[in-house]
Amino acid sequence: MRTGHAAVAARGDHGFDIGVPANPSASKEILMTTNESAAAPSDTPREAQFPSPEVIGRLAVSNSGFVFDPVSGASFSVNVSGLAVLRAIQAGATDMGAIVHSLGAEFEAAPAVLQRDVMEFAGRLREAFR
Amino acid sequence: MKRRSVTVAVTGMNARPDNPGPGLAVARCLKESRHLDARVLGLSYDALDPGLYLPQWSDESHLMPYPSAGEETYMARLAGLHEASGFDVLLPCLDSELPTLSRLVPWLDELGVATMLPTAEQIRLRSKDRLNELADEAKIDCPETKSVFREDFFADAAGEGFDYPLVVKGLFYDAKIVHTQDEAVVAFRRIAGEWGLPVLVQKFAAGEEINLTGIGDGEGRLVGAVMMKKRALTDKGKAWAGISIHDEALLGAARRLVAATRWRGPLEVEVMRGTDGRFSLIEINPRFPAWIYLSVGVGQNLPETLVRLALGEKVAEPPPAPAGILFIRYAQEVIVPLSDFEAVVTTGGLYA
Repeated sequence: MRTGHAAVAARGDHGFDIGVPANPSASKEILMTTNESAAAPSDTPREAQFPSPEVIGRLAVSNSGFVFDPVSGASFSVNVSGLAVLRAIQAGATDMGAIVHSLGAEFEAAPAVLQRDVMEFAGRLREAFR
Repeated sequence: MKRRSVTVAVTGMNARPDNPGPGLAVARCLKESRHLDARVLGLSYDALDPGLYLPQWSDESHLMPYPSAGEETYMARLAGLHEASGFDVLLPCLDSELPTLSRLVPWLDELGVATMLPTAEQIRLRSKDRLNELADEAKIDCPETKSVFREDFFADAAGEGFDYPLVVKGLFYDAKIVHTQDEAVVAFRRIAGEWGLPVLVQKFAAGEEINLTGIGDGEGRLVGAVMMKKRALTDKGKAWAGISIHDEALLGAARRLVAATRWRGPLEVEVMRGTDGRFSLIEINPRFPAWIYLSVGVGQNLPETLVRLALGEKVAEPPPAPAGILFIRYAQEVIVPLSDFEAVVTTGGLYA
């Protein structure tokens, strides 16, 4: 069980930034404050809008978190939690509940925190594939 | 495997870092061929072109007169080189050579020189001022393009439906994105001065540029295809780094273009992919691109394939090129003894 890294982040490698602060310490700070600013738990998880299954499915995702899109030629890296989300949706998880459940087995964080981070990650991915 | 011996004359051996010609990369591909034991004659137009002085890729190097010197002068030089050095295949790599050389194909045939070149009509079809017609035929979007002879067009470009930003392009080379009338006039003057009139004005297509290179077999089939997304650019917008990709839609578009034109020879298709995934055809170049060495990197040595086709060999469709292979250019210096430079300047050639 991993702890303290519930927030999901992704970072481009060559001028291809998906929205993580350039300063690593700033990134770390966001991760650390995540628990404090968590939204109140909700019984009904909101659905995350990821890029289309076709786009997600074609991504080559390595164990290091390096991600390559063979159609656009874009590449970026994600952290361990981002990797877990990508793996989950590539494996067919389609709704927020399933994704959060999958993450919950690997990360020690409240479901609401995981849900919020997944929403944010989905937004960054959508931005990357706009 | 026994490799077939062949001598190939390759033009465009310049390698300016900001805008390299394809010749040196083509020669390198041929030298690394698994099917051909290639002897390369590097042909160039400037005594300072580095490809003239790189014996690992150019066994013999020769200066050529510019095609603009006239067909007779050009033919006399080619005939002289053929007599002295005996090349089997001519593989031109510069746009500006193609109109002349496509006319000379029957003469080259008589000389015993094989080629794999687009016809004059095919070259006209892909010319930048007629690209819209070809795009229509192949059912690909293409930003509207207009031939412009006078700079006062830009005073009321919007009135003609050409809102800024626009792309100002030379007939053979060069393109500049302009956002104002002033920028447009500056680009028009510079490009007209370098490449002559008309200058082409194209509506700007937003998106990301992706490119494909392959070979038309002259009967409507695309042989081989390497697709690439630029990852780093020179100041002139040329690829300094790139990565192979695989896009079925782009491949389909290229196949339709080749089928529509029955293209013969190498080509590079440049498209913009919009955020909605639709393509806009920007340009078709009737030659290999400077990044052609990537074709070796992905297991499709396209210059080798072209030479084999030119020699009449049956060539099987190469396996699909894998995505995710990068190339990164670098610049380095060639050390040239004064005697070599002298030989090129005074005799027009350098023999290994």
